[in-house]
Amino acid sequence: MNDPIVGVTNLHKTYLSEKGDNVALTGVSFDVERGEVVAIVGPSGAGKTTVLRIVAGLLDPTTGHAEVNGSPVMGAPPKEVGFVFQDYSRSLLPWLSVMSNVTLPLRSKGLSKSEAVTKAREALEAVGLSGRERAHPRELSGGMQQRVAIARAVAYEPELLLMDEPFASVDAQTRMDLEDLVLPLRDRFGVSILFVTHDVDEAVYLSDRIVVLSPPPSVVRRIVDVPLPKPRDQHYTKADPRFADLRGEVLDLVRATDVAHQS
Amino acid sequence: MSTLTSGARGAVLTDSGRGLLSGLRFNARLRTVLLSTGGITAVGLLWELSVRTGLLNSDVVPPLSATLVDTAQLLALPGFWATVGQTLASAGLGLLLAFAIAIPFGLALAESAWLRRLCTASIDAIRPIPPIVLLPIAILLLGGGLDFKLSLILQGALWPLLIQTSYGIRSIDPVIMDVSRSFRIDPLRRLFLLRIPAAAPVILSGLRLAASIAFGVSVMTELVGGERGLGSILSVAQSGNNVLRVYSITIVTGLVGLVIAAIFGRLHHGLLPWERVGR
Repeated sequence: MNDPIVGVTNLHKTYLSEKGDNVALTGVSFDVERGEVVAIVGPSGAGKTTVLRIVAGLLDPTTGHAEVNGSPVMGAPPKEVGFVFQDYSRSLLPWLSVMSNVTLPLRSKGLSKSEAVTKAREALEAVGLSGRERAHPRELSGGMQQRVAIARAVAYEPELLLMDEPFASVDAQTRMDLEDLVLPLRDRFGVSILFVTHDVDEAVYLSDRIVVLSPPPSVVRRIVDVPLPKPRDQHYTKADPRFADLRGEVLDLVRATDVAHQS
Repeated sequence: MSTLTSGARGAVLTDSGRGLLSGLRFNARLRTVLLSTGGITAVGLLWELSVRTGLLNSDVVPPLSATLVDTAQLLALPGFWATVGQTLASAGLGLLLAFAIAIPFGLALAESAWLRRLCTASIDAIRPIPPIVLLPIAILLLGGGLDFKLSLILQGALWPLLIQTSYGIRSIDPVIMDVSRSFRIDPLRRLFLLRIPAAAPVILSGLRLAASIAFGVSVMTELVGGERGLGSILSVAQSGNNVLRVYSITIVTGLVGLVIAAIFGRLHHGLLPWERVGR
């Protein structure tokens, strides 16, 4: 249990606005161990993305703090983090080729052009996009664009991959393909993964543990262990009776509004 | 979805009928061309007839046919194109100057709320003054010549470009800035590979506007301020009571303005190919 990659301690977040303050988080705490895949789920409006953005250093908590690799995240994104945004059509740069989209963060990190290209090729190969390096994002399908975004994050060689509803904007078939693409990346690139999803099936299928948030003002309602065998498989894992049990358990937790504040 | 392709207005009409494919699209395009040609012809005929029937006084409005003959003669005149060149050169120089000032200044304004607060009031006070109103002061201060011309062109062209640049940078999709921050993109790459390309559509529309204004103000300084160019020959024609020539120069000036607008419109498509690709 020592030396987790992510430590989130007693996060509070209140969004101030003229219409009144909106309390999103009231004391969220959890850890992500190294090599773990952890999902954050919860009813809509539960501050899932808020938690992720705080860990990513894109948003400051009102009180409480997040640590990545033992160092507090203070106002700036930690260098160990690669981020996959929900909306690939906005997160990829349409004026750059696929290759340049992936190499941009690497070049910015100080890698030579040839090093950056080598790493980018490897990452693009890992997501099945070899040969599309010179295409521009909008020439690719949605699923392929999200693969580029995943490759960009993975090529950055993060210790922690953060993903904000990464598969929400693609069709069901593509979604399964992308899910099955992500898990091997953990082993191949040795990353820990923390992601947000509104899809309970996806959370159970991908995760080692699931952090279930309550409706806002959100707290951690429960952290559910997912002891399903690995590697996961769309057919056999989902046919496993334990999968159905876990799915039911998490679904009940997400939907149970009446026990909102007992955590 | 967003078929902003090829600049064909007609294409928009057929957008929903994708199944009917290019036949209809071509037809719509052809129809647009025919209609606009028809429109121009109708106006021309109306002009010619109104003069011929005496509805318009031919001392003040010469017939279109005679005007066109004179326009052709004007175009063939030795030195005419050099005159057009003089107008265009100062307009171009002024636009270049406006660009060189507006881009860095606009970026700085977008970056710094402090600078924005400092400058907004003064900019808002100076910006709306039409260049022609400043003309007497400019003559007083600068006497004439290129400085005088450029200062008035700047007054017309700088502000729209500056405001568009600042606005363009500030209205960049926040997701792009999140990408920039989370991947710790260095300031130089952030500027040249993220911010400027992201703001380019808005900046270019400012540039298109500024180009047309620069040309117009350039002609004005020649017409009223006595600088050499299209405006000065127009002024000569006017004082010589050469009505036909006044009309010819006006037509040519209008056409040159049209060409400038078209060129900068093309620039938009040429420089920002990603804006055109649909999904």
